Amino acid sequence: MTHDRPDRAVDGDNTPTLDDLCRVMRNPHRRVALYFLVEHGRVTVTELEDVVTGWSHAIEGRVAVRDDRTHIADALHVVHLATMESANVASVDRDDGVITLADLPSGYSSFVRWSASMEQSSPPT
Amino acid sequence: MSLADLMTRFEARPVSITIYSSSSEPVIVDWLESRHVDVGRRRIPVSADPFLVVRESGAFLASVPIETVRELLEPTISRPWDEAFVSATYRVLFDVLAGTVLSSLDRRQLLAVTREIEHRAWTVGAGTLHVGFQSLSAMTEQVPVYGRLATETDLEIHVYGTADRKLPIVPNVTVHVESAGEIGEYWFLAFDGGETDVEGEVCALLAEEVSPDVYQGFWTYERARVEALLAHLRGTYA
Repeated sequence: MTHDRPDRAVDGDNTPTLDDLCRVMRNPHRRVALYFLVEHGRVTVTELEDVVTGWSHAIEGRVAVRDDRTHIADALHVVHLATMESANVASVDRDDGVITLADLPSGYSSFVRWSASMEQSSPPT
Repeated sequence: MSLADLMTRFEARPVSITIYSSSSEPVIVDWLESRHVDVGRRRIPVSADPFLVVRESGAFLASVPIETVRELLEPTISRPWDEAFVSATYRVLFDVLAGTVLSSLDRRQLLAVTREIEHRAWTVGAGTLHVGFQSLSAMTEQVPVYGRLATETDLEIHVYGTADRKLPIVPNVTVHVESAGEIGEYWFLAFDGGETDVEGEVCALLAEEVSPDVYQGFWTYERARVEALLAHLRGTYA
């Protein structure tokens, strides 16, 4: 006997599932990227690199310089943006350098915002 | 050439700053805008620690927690060799904001910049340091600092000020007493870096008091600008 999971999307449906969302949110830098996307919907990749750098360092009260940003930007490009795309949470227009939040199922944005509010007591590492 | 000419010829770096915060941060925005810096604002959730991103000619320079900027606005003043100063987080802003115009700095903020230059001179321990706090009475408060700089390093120190009071004798410090003129109008420091070629050790501050306790000017690590100030001081007051 099989049990359909309530968050599973039907074939051909690109709507992210709860598993997809949790996969994205498993990484602290992807979470920060997602928090900012939920606030603004569509941002440049350049700004997202700035934001993930500044946000993750500010949590620890630290200043970030160019090398810090390069390290974070490389990981965004090599891993995190692809993960967000494959999870159907966001799409990246590499020609225009823009990333756009997908239409999320009802309640997902609220879940992301709740997660953001929890970060103070559980800072990214 | 005069201190006013050096001020007029100064060209600020093209720095832009974006503030990421859930609030409008009016105090910091006002302070930054008074520096003729392009300031943008973007919203982040209230739970996030606010920060700002500094770009120069479009290229990322640094991100700085807002809390660190607040520390610079109301700095704790200690001596240039004190651990409290050496470990102060806000010191990174001296690098980030060097070469921008500063207007509406008060004496306390200016003294924090002054400490940064004194600290660099103390660390190098050799070379020439020129200092003008406008009046010798203002300099009097700094005599213990300059006494130690002069006796515990190989620095050659020149102090300038208007003769509003007699300065205590500080061994190894040359005092240039002026009756009036630009020396009474400008707060300045210039350190030639000694023999070091390390970037950032050559530094200068030049600020004009535009109204009581309000200063406008710049600090810089550009060798050419520091050399220009040093040349003026040597040529005019040697």
